[in-house]
Amino acid sequence: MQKILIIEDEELMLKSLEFKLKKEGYEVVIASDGRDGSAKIKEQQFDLIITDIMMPFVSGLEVISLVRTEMKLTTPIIILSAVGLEDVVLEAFKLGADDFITKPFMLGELSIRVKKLIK
Amino acid sequence: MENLLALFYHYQDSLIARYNYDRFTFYANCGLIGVSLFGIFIAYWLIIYHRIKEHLSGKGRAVIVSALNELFIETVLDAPAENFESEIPASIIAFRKKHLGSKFGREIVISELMQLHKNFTGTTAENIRKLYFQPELDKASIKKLKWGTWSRKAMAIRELSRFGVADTIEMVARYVNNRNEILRLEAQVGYLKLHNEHPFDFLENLQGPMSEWHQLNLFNTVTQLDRLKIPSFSKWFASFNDSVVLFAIKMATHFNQLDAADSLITLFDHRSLEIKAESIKAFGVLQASQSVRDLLVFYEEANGSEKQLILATLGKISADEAIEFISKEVRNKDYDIALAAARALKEYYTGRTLLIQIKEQSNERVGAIIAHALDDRI
Repeated sequence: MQKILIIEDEELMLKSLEFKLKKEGYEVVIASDGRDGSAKIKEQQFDLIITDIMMPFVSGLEVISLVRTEMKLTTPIIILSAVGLEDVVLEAFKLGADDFITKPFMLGELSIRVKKLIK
Repeated sequence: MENLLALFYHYQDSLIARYNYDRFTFYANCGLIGVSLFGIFIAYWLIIYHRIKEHLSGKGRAVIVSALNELFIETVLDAPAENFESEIPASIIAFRKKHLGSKFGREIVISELMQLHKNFTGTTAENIRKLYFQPELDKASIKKLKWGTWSRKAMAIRELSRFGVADTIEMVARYVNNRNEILRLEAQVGYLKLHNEHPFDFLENLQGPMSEWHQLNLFNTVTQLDRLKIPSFSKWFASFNDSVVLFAIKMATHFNQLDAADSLITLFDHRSLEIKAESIKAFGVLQASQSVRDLLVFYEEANGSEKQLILATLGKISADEAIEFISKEVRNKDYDIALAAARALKEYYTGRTLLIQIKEQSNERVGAIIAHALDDRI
């Protein structure tokens, strides 16, 4: 079973994504902030990471930097954020994010993007 | 009580006698002490009452939020829209009975639904809307708009516009000129979101000035709304309200409304210097080449800073018919104008070559200005 890590500080969003992706047959691990997420990335292996940008302690951009620069992992990363500013999006892609979804979003769209990247 | 009074009179007489107090001063001091003690008692009581109330409402809120979250994930999140059309799921009916009976419950549910609706589009967002409309929570929002304080009215407008209760537009419109700035802004944003046909019509009757912050908020809303009908903003260039004119110029340039260029020319004679300056800059953003002649005519009467703005705008437009004029202005005796002209000429495709040619044919002073303009580090 493919394993997905979701890092999101908004509790209901976290639970919603967990519910949706579990329903689609993935194993889902959740983290409620960037620090928790980073710790889980160091401990376990994931097939995909979904992360928010604006989070307490460690931001989504720092998480990408950890995965790509420090740990040199190729795990696909999807950014899910309400911040759709051009600078932030470009910075995320520059650091190595594979996809960027801006809130509000369609759940169906997220599923398709997850499927596409996890292949 | 009688014993207490007897004790009081006993001490009163002995104190007055021992210290030779004036009887009136003694009573006044006793009264003051009494009132202070009573005040302290009331203050403590109020603090304790509010702490308990806050604690209980916090607990109550947590219970409702948790129940709503559970309901949302299990019943609403991934459900097809038809699930809510014909038959409402039993879990939703049970939730309504339990939590929507009180004003407190309704308030919490509305605020949570707003938060949820912000995150989703598509079927999920539509299902959240149904959770708002089916138990008639829109009526609670309307009631708040009618009878609430200004902050509750502002919140009500936010709720009604979030869920698109379009038939409340007239009620919302009443507040677009409210003296409270936050309510006024909320009403204008609400009007934009709710009016399907003419979302910017509120600008017609706007009385007070719109601050930069106010305009920024409106602009932000405009850029986030996908299905907004964008009018030709030039119709507000003649507004009696200067801030509306400025806002209209910014919107016309943002939406690249080239047809606004002709009306922009009329603003050259505007009494407001800020509007004059913004209209000149707008030509540059729109790259309206048809306005070059008008800009050149206006240049003759313009003051120094306006001349610099016109030169910058001519540079942005980069029309061939202005090259000769700008080249002449590079030799202007006024340093700032000459520098603005050199910078404008630099914007042209062949600008650098032209500037180097002028430099070779001119005196040292003009050469220094051109060198300054050509230096990309500055």
